[in-house]
Amino acid sequence: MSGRSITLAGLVLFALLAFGWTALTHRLSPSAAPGTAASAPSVSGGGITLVSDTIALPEESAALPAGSDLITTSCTACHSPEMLTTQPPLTAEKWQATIDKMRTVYKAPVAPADDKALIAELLALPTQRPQPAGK
Amino acid sequence: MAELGRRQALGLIGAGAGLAAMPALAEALVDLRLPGGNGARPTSGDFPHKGGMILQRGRAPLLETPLDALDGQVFTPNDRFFVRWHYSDIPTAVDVRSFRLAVGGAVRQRLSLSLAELLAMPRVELAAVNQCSGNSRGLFSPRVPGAQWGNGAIGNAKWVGVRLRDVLDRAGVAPGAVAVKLGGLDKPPPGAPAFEKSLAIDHARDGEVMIAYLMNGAQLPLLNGFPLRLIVPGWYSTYWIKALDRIEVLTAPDTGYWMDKAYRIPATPGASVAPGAKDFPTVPINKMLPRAFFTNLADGAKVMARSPFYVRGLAMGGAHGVARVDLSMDDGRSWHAAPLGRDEGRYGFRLWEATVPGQPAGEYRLLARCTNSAGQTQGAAPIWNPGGFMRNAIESLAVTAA
Ligand code: HEC
Repeated sequence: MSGRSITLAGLVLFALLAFGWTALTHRLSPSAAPGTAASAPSVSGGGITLVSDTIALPEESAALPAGSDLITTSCTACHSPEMLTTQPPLTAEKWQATIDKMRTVYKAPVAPADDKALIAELLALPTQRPQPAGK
Repeated sequence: MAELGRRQALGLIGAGAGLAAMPALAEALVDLRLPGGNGARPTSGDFPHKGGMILQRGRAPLLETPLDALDGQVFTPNDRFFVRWHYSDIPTAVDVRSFRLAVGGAVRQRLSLSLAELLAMPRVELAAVNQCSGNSRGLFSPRVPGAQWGNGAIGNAKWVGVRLRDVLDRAGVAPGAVAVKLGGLDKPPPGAPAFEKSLAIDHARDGEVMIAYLMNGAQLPLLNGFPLRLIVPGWYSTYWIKALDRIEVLTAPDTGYWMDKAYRIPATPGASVAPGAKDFPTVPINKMLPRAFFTNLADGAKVMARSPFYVRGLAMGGAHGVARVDLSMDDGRSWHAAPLGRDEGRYGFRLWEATVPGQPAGEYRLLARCTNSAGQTQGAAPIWNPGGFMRNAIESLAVTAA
C-alpha cells in the first residue's frame, strides 16, 4: 500500500447541489419556529420575527434494574438513570468520589451512612460489568 | 412543577416494583463502539423540534447528533443539532414579549433589553462550530466519568445576532472591568451553583463574540437555547450560554464553580497528562483544536476490492480556519491532500472528500488529519485528562476490501 498514491477527485456536483439547495431553502424559509402556532405571540424587527415557544419534554424511558432502590431514591432526583447506566465500569473509589462530588457541589441529600450500600448497588448495575471492547 | 411530578412518579415506581418493568419508549439502538463497551444507546425522535437523536440522557437532556445527520453538508440541521444541558430545570416556555436580557455589574448604565431592542441593533452573521468540551469523551482510554459522548456532540450553524461588544458598549463598561460573566434561564438544584461562565473583557469585546437569535435562518429550538445564545467562535461550547438572560461585568476574576473548579484542563501542551495523574496545574478550557471526521463511512466499512470508493467528511480548524485535510492509508507514513469544499467562514465546518483507488482484497485503515491555518494539526496519539476534554486524535476507519 505505502507507495501507492490515493487519487483524489475534485468537488463533485452532488456537493455543489447540496450547497445550492441549502442556500435556496434558507432563503425561502421564514424565520419562525418549527411547529409553533401562527397565533403565538411574536416580536419583530428588521425583517426577523421571533415567536413565543413552549415545549413538553417526553416521558422518561430509562430504567434501572430491580435491586436499585437506594440508587433510585438517592440518585435520580437531578438526572435520569442514564447518567449512571451509561458510565463505563468505575471502581468503588471512583463511585465514592462521584457521590462526594454530588454532595459537595450539587447538595445531593445523600446520607454518608448509605454510601457503602449505594456503591454496592452501583457496582451491581449490569452496565458496570466489564464488557468486550467496542473496538 | 412538572419536573417534580415526573420525578416523584419515577421514585414511586422505583421503590415499589422496580423500574425494569417500565416499557422502553425509545427506538432503535446505535452502538457508539466505545472502548471497554457499554456504548449501545437508544435513538429518540420524541424531543420537541428534534428529529432522530442519540439519547444519552433524558433528564437533563443530552442528545447526540448521529453521523448521518452530519454527512454531506457543512451546516447541521437545527432539528439534528446536539443538545446538552447540565441542570434538569431547563426553560420549556419563553414569552418573547416579556423576555429581557439584563446587563449589569461594572457598567455605567444597567440595561434590561427586550428582544425588539436587540432586533433593532446592528446585525452580524457568522458560521461557527459548536462543540462540547467533552465531545468524544466516551472514546477516552482509560475511560473517565461524565457524559459518554461519541463524536456527535458537535454541529455547525450560521448564527445571526448582535455583537456582545455592542451590547456592552450600550451599557458602558466601567473602568476596572476584567471579565464578563454570562448566565441563562436554566436553574440549579437548591444550593448548587448557577451555570455561569465568563470571558476576559478583551475577549468579550473582540467583536466576534455574539448574541445569536437566528440559527441557520430560523429561531433557535428551545433545546438549543431559544431565544438568545452566546456564540464564542473557536471556543468550546461550555461558554456558549443557552437562553442567555444576564450579563454581568466583573472587576475581579470569576471565582464561581463552573470557571474555578469545573471545565478545567491540564496546563500542559495538548491538555494531556498521564492517566491517573492528580494535582497538576489547570486552566479553564478555551480554544478548540483542529479535527477531521469521516461522515459517509463508519468504522468497519466494507468496500468492493479493486474498485475505487468515495469517502468524505467534515473538518474544523478550531480557533483558526481549515488549511488542509490529508488522508493516509499507510499508518501516516504518507499523506495525500483531500480537496476541500467551499469556505463558509473560518470557524465553521469545511467539507472534504476523496475517491480512493481500488485496493486488492484485504484490511485497511484510513486516516484523516486536519491542519489549520495557524499550523496546528492533529496527533496520532490520543490525549488523556480526567475531565475527558478536548479529544482531537486523528480519526481512523477500518475498511475491508472484499
Ligand atoms: C442534587 C442533585 C443531584 C443528585 C441528588 C445526584 N446528582 Fe449526579 N449530577 C448532578 C449534576 C448537576 C451533574 C452534572 C450533570 C451534567 O454535567 O450534565 C451530575 C453528574 C453526575 C455524574 C457524571 C459525572 C460527573 O461528575 O459529572 C455521575 C456519574 C453522577 N452524577 C452520579 C450520581 C450518583 C451516583 C448519585 C447518587 C448518589 C447522584 N449523581 C445524585 C446532580 C445530582
